[in-house]
Amino acid sequence: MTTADDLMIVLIAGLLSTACALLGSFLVLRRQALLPDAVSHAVLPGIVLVFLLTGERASLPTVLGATAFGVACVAGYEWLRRTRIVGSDAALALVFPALFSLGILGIGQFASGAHIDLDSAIYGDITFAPLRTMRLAGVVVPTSLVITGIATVLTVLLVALLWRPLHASTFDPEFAELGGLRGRAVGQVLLVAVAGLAVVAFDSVGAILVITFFVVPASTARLLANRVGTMLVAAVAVGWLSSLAGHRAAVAFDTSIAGTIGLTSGALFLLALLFAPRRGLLVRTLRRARS
Amino acid sequence: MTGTATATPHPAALSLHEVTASYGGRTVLDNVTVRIPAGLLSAVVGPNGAGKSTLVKAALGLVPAVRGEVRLLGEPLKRVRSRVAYVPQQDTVAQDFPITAVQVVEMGRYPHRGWLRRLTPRDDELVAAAMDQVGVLDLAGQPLDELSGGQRQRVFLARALAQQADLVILDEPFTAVDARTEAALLDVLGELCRDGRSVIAVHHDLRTVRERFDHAVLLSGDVVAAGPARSVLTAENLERAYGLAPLTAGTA
Repeated sequence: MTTADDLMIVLIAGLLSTACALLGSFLVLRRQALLPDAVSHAVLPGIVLVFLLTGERASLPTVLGATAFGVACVAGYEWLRRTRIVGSDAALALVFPALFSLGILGIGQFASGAHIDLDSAIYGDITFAPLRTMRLAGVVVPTSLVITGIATVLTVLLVALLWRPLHASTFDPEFAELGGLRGRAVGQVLLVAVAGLAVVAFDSVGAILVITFFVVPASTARLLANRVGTMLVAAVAVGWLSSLAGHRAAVAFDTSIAGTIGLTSGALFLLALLFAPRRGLLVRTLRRARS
Repeated sequence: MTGTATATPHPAALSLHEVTASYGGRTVLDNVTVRIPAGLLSAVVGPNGAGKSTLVKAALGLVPAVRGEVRLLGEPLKRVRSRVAYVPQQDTVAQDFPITAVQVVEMGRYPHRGWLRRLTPRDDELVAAAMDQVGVLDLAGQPLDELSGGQRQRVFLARALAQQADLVILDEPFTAVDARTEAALLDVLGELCRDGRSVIAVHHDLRTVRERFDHAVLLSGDVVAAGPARSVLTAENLERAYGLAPLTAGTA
């Protein structure tokens, strides 16, 4: 039995997984897979600040405030990394706890009575995504569907436009820089796009599902593909499959949708890790045994 | 010994004038002035930490030159980007990136085509010819991470060839490469020079440099000597650069 709400949930999750898989594939290949996780923490001071300024937790200003700090997080990360004085992983690990702490202090000092409930302030839940609606050309549609639809279209356009510099600079940053492809600048655009998409997605479906969508389908696809183009297609396919199968499982077992989608994509990754035709553990073990 | 290069009739492939550059917060090159003539197979040699890689990276704008002036083929970098090809050290390239050999070589055409213009049939011809020249045409569809070190390096040289650059700069191109591949790649580089193009390689094997290279720059923080390879790699110069004469110097 499928209701309109069920269809909406699968559609929102699928669209979002598409956008996340496209950007996430490049993050995984650039060894920046932890970035969405960091952004999910770094946005807190933005939420608190907007609450202090406006006294409300309305969606749009909060998303804008959160985005500002998400971008601040990636900018700080980029800057620290470029100094080459701290490692890339440490640069990320240094920036986001500082911002998160700032948010915690903000709540403690100024907003302790306000019950900023992080879950409802920005970290939404996909289960309730169909309930928040808006009118679009006279039709009532879930706000999240509109937002994730726009985000997905923009992401596809961005990746199409930046395909060559992204491809070249992820593979060989020095070549891309020298060849005039502006790889460094394109890398920064990627980070800002990730921060923006992550914040929008947190609001629609919750942080954990976003982090899952950025990393797990892309990692699964990496095991199956020999080219980045095929990897992106495979990642999108894994995202949709996880959304659909995860949602069915949640309905069947009457449990959390985000949880089952996350688990499903994890299970698909495990399958690929074991049985991928060229890079899976089974093939590697057999190859080693034979040689 | 120093400065004999300036007597050659060639214009400079690369010239650095009072260049200071740092890497990881440490000043590696301090006020270096050097001129590498065009049309030659040139080596940049010196002990570990002498600034060999930093020198070529500073010349290519890959590490910010703090001070000084760099000219490639007589021009500032931004005017000759597509005419300069670079083969980076293997460890700066993403090792597990999903890409086929032919896709790597196609990148050699990107500097000419920019972000959006499609590769033309002529580009495809150049790509195939470059792969054929280094003997990897039959590996075109292979994933890069399934190739051997030698095969990979041939693919990267093919990328530089496909770019049709006038100056090819290589950073330690022969590490993780078998002797046969090294000899084959050196032959290809020599052909480029006979074609009127210039090749500069950062290299650490002094024997190869003495036997196969025309020109050498010996570095140790600054330029110890520069000129024809055999006259640069003397026991006396090597001792100044390395602190003590390496084994190969004894045979000089």
